Amino acid sequence: MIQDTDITPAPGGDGESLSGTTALAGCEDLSAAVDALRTEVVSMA
Amino acid sequence: MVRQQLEKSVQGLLHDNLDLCNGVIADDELVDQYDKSVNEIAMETLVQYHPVGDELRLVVTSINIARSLERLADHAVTIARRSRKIMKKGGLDEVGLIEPLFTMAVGQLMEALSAYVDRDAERAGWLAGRDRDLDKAYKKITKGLSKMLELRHEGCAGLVHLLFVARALERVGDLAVSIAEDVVYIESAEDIRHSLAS
Repeated sequence: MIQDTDITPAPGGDGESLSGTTALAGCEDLSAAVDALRTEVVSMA
Repeated sequence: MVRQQLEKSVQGLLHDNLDLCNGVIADDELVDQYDKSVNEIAMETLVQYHPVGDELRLVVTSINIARSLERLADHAVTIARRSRKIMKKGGLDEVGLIEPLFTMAVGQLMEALSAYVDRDAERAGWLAGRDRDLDKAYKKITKGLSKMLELRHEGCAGLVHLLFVARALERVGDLAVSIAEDVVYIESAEDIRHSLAS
C-alpha cells in the first residue's frame, strides 16, 4: 500500500517552478497570475 | 512578435529583401522562448492557484494559443527560407500573386488576436466561419501556378517555392481560425471546433 510519505512532490507541487525559477514572481493571487499569462500571450502574438 | 514575423517574411519576398528574411529566421528562437514562458506561467498558475471556471479555461486554452502562435512563426520561417531560395535564383516576376493571400491571412490573424485581447466571443465566432474566402483564394493561386508550371520549361523551381509560400499562408488562416475557436471557448465555454460545415 502506498503511504503519503512515499510520494515525492512533483516539480511545482510545492510552488517551485518546473525550471527551478518562479514564473509568477510578483503575482500575489490568481487574478494577477491570469493577467500575467494574458500579457505574455499578447506579447508573443 | 509573431504577426511581425509573418509581415517581415512576406515583405522580404515581395521586395527582394534578404535582410528581412534572415531576421525572421534568426528571431524564431525568441518566439520559442515565449512559447516556453507561456507554458511555464500557465503550469505554475494551475499548481499554485487551482483555477476553476472561466479562469481555468483561460489558463488551459492559453497554452493552445501559444502553440498556434509558435506554429504561425514556423510558417513565417518557411516563407523566409523559400523567399531566400527564390532570391538566390534571381527573383521571380510572379511573387506579387501571393500578396492578396497574405493580406487575407494576416487580416484573419489580426481579427483573432483582437478578439482574444478584447475578450470578444461574438467576433471570434464570426471569424471561425470565415475561412472559406482564404481557401478559395489559395485554390485559385495554386491552380494558376500549376498551369504556369505545365507551360514553363525553365525557372520552375521559383514557382515551386512560391507554391510552398502560398501553402504556408493558407495554414496561417487555419491557425487564425483555431485561435478564434479558442477565444470562443474561453469566453463562452462553448467548444465550436469541428462543428462548422466545410
